[in-house]
Order: sequence, then structure tokens, then C-alpha cells
Amino acid sequence: MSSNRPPPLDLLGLGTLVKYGSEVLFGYQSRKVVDLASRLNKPLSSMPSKQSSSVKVKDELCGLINQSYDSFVAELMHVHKLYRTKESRIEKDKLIHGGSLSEARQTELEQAKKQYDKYLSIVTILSESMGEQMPLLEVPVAALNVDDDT
Amino acid sequence: MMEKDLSHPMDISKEQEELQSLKAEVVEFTSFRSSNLPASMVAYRKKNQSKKASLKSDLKKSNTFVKKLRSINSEGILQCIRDVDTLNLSLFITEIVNAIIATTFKPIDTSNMVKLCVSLHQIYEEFNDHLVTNLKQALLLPISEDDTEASKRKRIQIRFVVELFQVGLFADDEFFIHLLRNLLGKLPLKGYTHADISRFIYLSYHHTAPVSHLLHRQSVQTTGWCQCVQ
Repeated sequence: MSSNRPPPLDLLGLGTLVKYGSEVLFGYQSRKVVDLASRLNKPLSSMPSKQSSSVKVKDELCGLINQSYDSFVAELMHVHKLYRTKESRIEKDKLIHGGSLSEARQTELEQAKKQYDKYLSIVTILSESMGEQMPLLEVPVAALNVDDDT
Repeated sequence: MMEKDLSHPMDISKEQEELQSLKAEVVEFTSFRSSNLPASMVAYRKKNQSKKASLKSDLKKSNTFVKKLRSINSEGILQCIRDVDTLNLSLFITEIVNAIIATTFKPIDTSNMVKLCVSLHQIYEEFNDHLVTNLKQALLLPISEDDTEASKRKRIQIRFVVELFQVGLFADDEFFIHLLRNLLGKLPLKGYTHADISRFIYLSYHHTAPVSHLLHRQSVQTTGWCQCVQ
């Protein structure tokens, strides 16, 4: 029965749920409220909140998101490295072959960019909602020169 | 140091002002939400029973109302909100809900769509049960990644269900755990498999009494769907 198969990961849908349900469901406070609490020297828990879900539901929702956040960050780093590596290799090839690029390589680059944009978007939404720092996306120059397609 | 001491009381008053306005916003939000919750709505409907009796039954206009919902745009929704105050739509609730679920309205129209649902909910008792049941099913059904239209509609419906929760039309907060698990690609919890949801929809259409209480997780886990109905 198909019900035993897990549904596919829906990053865009997840982003929408966290973005719009951030305060009311997950209980995350907006940056404005966090800032006001720090200026008033008050704990965040004492600030007025629109959270309308029960504590049990809120804890479960936050638990699920926290579990997934680290894996999304790791995946973002991975797809970012992959995308930058492909991009730099294609730039080099363009110089060698006088600016032309095969259709397959162009598609490959577009796919890598699409994946990178998808993970960047979800990590940005989650970081903003959870008050986490965005991960630093840096690829060392040496890594860009490695011929590795994985 | 002296300058800082002088500016301090002003800063405090500005921040206190901000805090007061935030508190007022939350109070307004909470009171509007609780006014739409089932318990308050029963009293509201009782009080406004005469209003419902004064609504006009017009088949042609009611059909136009449903058509307008199917081919929705911002002006159309506003017109529908106005029509709810004059038309008796009792016989069209199922069609209206189906139209709301099937329509891919623009994200910018979500708030007006919620306003329309609030207006309908204030008059028609059965509207909310139909809407919530159908929305739950639509949100948990798997969609193909390649179907961009379905994916877009699902994202709008997610925003829609969150906004319905904000205004108190959707009160089942536990559903969001199932929705989140679904979006994260995790297996559904017991009682929320696709087969269970389909069975629930079947039952809700084939029983005259409202069966939304059957969605309560505990009853599902302990007795199973079929036993619940028996």
C-alpha cells in the first residue's frame, strides 16, 4: 500500500508553513520583538505573543524543525560547493573552447543552481524564524579545482 | 555618561510605548480569534438568527457566486464577501467549499479569502466542517514534483490554512504536526495515512451527523476508523 511509503520532501511547502506559521504555530518571536525585549532587558518568554498552538504541539513542531535544520544546513553547504565547483570548471572550459558550452553541461549547471537556490531559500527562512545565524558559505579555491562531480 | 542618563528616560518611554502597542495588537488578535472559535460562534449565530432569515434565496445569483469563486480574482472575492450579506447560500455550501479548495488564487488574495470564509462561517454552521475536512485532505495528498500548478496551489493552501488557524476557523493544531511531517518527507502517524484520510472523507459525505470529532487522534489510535463510526 502506498501509505507505507514516506511522502517526498517538499521544501517549498515547508518554507511556506514556517514563514507564515512562525509565530502563531511555532512560537518563534519576530526580530522586532526580540530586539524590543533586549532593549527592555526582559526575557523573551515575558513578551506578548500570538502563539495560539498548545505547548505540546509547539514543542513537537519545534522539535521536528530543529532536527531537520542541521541536515538542511549540511545539504546547503554541499550543494553550494557542488554548484561553485561546476561553475568554476565551466568558466575554465569556456576560456579554453572560446566561450561555447555544451547543452548537457549547461543543464548540469542549471540543475546545480536550482538545488542550491532551493536549499538557500529554506535555510534562510528557517534561520530567520529560529533566530539562527545563516551559515557561512565559502568554498576554498583549492576545492574549486578538484575534479570531483559528487 | 551625563548625556546617557538624560536620554535614558526618553528611550524607556519609547520602548514602553512599543510594548503597549504590541500588547494591544496581541489582545486584538486573541479576541478576534476566540470570537470565531466554535463555542463563541454558537452564541453569535443565535443572536443573528434573524439576519440569516432575511437573506435572499436566488438560484441564479448563487450560481454566479460559485462561478465567481472558481475563476477568482481580487475584485471577485470582495464582491463575494458583499454577496454573503445578502444571499442565502445554504444549498451551495458544498459547492462553495469545493470551489475554494480547487481554485488557485493569488497569494495576495489569501487574506480576502480568509475574510470570505469568516463571513460564511458566521452564518452557516456546516461551512467550517466541510472546509476543514476538505482542506486537510488536500494538504496531505501527495503531489507530483513536476506538477508546478499543484505545487503552487498546495503552497497557497498551506498559507491559507495557517491564516484560518490565526482567525480561529481552523482549531485543530495537532494537524500541523502531521502536515509538517508530510512536508519533511516523514511517514504519517497512525490515523493520518492517505487511506485513513480518504476513509474519513468518505464517511463525512455519507453520514448526516458531523463526524469531525472522529479526527481526534486518540479515538483513531484506540478504536480505528470503522469502529469509531459503529
